[in-house]
Amino acid sequence: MHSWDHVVDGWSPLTPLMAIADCTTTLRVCPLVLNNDFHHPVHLAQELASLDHLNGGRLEVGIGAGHSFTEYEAIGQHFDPPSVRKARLAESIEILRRLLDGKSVTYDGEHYNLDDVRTLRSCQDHVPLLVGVNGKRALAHAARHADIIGLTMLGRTLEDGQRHEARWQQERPDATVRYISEQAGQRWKQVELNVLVQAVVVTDDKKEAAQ
Amino acid sequence: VVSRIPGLSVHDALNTPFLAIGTHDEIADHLLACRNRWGISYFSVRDIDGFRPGDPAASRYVGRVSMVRRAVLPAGARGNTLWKDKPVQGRQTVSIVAGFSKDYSDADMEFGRSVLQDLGFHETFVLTSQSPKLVVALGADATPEQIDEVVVSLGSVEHVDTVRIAYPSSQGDP
Repeated sequence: MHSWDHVVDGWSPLTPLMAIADCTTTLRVCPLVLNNDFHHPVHLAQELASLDHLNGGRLEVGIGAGHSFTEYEAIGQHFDPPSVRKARLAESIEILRRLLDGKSVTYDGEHYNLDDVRTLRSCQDHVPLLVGVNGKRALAHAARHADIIGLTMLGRTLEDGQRHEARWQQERPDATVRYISEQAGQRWKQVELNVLVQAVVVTDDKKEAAQ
Repeated sequence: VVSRIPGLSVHDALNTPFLAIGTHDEIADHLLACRNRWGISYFSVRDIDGFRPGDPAASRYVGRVSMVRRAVLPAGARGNTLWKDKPVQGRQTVSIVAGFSKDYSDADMEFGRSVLQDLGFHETFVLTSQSPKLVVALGADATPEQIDEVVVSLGSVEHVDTVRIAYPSSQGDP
């Protein structure tokens, strides 16, 4: 079961996942995806590890670089260019991985500086990290660090700050998947690919429904 | 669909992994094709039109495909070991679906169906794409609200991909 992370008059990303986990027994829960810019990785790691313990190790962590510029504007947060948001996400992923694994982290990055920080270790031996990104540099980083790569093949965020260009020509994933596999190298077999299916239409006439 | 997405052809819409359009059989085939072509094994779905609590169709095809995960069976395991040890009780009902590779005989398929029926899944139907065969079993006795998730297993005995179909939450459209 997934949640989302937007500045809206609606559910927050993590607390509802705990409620859902509480009334189920095996269902895994995953924010799809957290906006990295809305959370500091240390606070986030602590929150996520707590959630993982409270739900008996059923958490997966989806995280992305943030895209909805209207939300940044609304809360007075600077909306950095994609390269900066993605670089910050890359650092955050490395920090989250180590903190969730129970390691002490000293980190001297462009965006985060940590001095011997340790937070609660996750309940699972290894909480899966789902990284939802696009672009070569970010995909290369995800291929080396993520357990799951979330593909949307969505392009530019449109004027409303929510909708996107869709790049769904059916041959496009060929090159993307090949690139990820090259970048992942030895890790490729352990990297899982996720897609966000934007619409499911059950119909007896798929050609007409596709029009 | 196409009319709302600039630059997308009907052919793209029917083949992109980001959409799933068709009958249940066609959608199952589409997911398999995406797995085979790109290795995509985990599908998150926003919504399924027309599958709401109380909808008659929902008891046959439950809500939301939330996850498709890889699982690895122990060496020599048969399909039935997948669900044999899974408790099925009360509110925790998890509809377990046995996966059969193309190597399984019709007798194996029938055996799987009979065990599922013993577990209380009276309504089963078989999605037979070219291969592997899929058996999807949903509990006719269970109301959609009682079903946490439905697990559909695909693939060979060595590597089984698991599709969990979970009922949509009431929290809107996360």
